[in-house]
Amino acid sequence: MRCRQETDDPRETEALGARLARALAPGDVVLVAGELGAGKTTFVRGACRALGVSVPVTSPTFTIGQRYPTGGPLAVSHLDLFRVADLAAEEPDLLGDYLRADTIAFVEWPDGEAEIAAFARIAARVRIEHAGGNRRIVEIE
Amino acid sequence: MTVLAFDTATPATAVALCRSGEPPLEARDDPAPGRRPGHATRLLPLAVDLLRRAGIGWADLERIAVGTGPGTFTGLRVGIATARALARARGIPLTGVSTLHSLALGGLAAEAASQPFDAILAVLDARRREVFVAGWRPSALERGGEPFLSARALRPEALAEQVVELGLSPVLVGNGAVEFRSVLERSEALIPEGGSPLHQVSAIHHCRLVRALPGGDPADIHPEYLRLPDAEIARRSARP
Repeated sequence: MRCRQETDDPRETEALGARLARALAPGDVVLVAGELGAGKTTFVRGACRALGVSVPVTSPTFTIGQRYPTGGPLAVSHLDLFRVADLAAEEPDLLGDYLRADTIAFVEWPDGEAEIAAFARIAARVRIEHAGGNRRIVEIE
Repeated sequence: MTVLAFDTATPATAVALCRSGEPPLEARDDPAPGRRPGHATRLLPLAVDLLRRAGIGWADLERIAVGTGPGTFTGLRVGIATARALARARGIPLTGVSTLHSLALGGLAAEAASQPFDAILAVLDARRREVFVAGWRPSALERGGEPFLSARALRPEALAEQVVELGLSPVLVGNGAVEFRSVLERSEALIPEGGSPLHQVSAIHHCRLVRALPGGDPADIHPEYLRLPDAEIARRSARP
């Protein structure tokens, strides 16, 4: 799914996340880039809801990663690599627990594509930018 | 006192076993350039190896000391979680040691160098083209004294400027000093040659600092990341 779309509020950003989620399969990872407050977690929340996650979806800023159950065999991982300055300098297992064949993953602050690609198929790159107030430009490729 | 000390803040896994009246024992794993760190798989085997070499067991340990960083995220979590678990399981105190402080203490051995110096700066590669740095006067180091330049993350160019502004003739040790040598040598800084052991974090120096630092409840020892998480930055910038 490729698109470039302007959203008027967080609900529309979530809806766009949900649309992308329907095109994903287990083993996929989505890289979500954007400045602080751009709405990365909002986008991921929309995708998670569409995949059957019912628990709260918040940025795993302190823990690096979270795994959410979906009620089925699929799990959803949500990572925030803001504090990881260089993935190549970290233990490989940091990603291994989250990027798995039975999991769809979303990675915020995705510096280090090579390390991520060693664990999962990069299915989409999302870039979210402020466009004034609650408006955002969301680019998916 | 029998102390098991280790540090996993840098790519190295550095372990030491120190006993009163005995020479310290050291074991370490330094990944080759381009290889990933092996903290999770190497730390405990290296500790077991040292206990075996000393002919003692876990029950003989009286203190655990652990490097609290700054350093890599997984490295610090592996080291501190392991240290807390060991100290709690044995019911012994845990001492947190600044990785920069230990590195600077090791730098005191540069005293044999020809050029006199008035400060030691520990400089670790923080990635994103930054260094983690803290600086001590040589007299304060062994006493476990406070740094005159507190721990911070900054660009190597900014560090070189600070060295000039403070009028220092320091020795710089650590992988960050080696990585950014060309920038940092613009100041009066002396940087030992790249292969020098002075640039390695060694847990033997953690043991030396344990004498000057208190041991306490394992739950009170936390990693020092120096960089804030994104949510924290957003929260602070949202304040009126």
